[in-house]
Amino acid sequence: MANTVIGSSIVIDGEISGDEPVIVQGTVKGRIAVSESVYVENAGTLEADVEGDSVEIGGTVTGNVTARTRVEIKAEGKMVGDVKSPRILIADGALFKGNIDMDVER
Amino acid sequence: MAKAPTIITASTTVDGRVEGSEDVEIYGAVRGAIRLVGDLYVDGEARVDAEVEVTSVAIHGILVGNVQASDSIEIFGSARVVGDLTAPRVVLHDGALYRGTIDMGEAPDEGADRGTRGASRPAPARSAPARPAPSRPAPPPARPAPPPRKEAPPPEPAVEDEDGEDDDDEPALPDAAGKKKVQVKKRK
Repeated sequence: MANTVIGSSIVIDGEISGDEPVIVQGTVKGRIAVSESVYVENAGTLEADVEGDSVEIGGTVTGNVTARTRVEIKAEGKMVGDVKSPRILIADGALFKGNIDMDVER
Repeated sequence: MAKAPTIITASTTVDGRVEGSEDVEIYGAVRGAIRLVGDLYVDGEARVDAEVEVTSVAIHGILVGNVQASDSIEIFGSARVVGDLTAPRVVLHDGALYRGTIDMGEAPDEGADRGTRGASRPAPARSAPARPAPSRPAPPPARPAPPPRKEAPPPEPAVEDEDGEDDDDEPALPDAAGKKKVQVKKRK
């Protein structure tokens, strides 16, 4: 039970915080702030600002993403918002609109 | 069905609304509201401060808020629950701490009686939910029961006790730390 999982039919309206990885298969509106990784799976939808160690986007994200290590927008991922992280990957096929800031120490 | 349920892990806090149509397991904290077409599991280490509306719920931890279930509410021995419960089936296990009102719907023979009952305390006619309540404040000879629980009646005093212990500990700690520091300095 190491991962927090938001299942595909679940909608969370508010804030998720903690220090374990979060896997989103459903919908989160609001904010996610964790010290571990955040995974937005293909069916996952975020209308939220995200803070995490690393953030992997295979679903749809609307909001700003800040990651201490890296952000990956996969081929199936769609994202609108600003990304701030020292390492950012955008795969071929991904949709992205927003600002990228890699000028982050650490 | 083989799919993993939604899980809120022990160190995770959700502040807001959780809604959906699947099972949810909570090991961490949720504050706000939970509305599910599905089963809710509240772990022994979990804390939920929320209005809950689900198909069924099993509570092993702390839950503060009103709970409405279309099927059942089960409060296990390790649970502490404060709030009103509404469900056709409510199970309260031995050892559970509970404060609130339980409504299991109308008994089949007394639909007219409902109005008065809803306003005032539940009529003694309903034996199932009423039984655990009176047995707690007045220590009955019928139940030998765990002694520590008897002494601390509702959840709050227990929490205050814990705080009291912490307070006792804290003054002691700085002294010890201070002595240690002094010693270290001397050695250096």
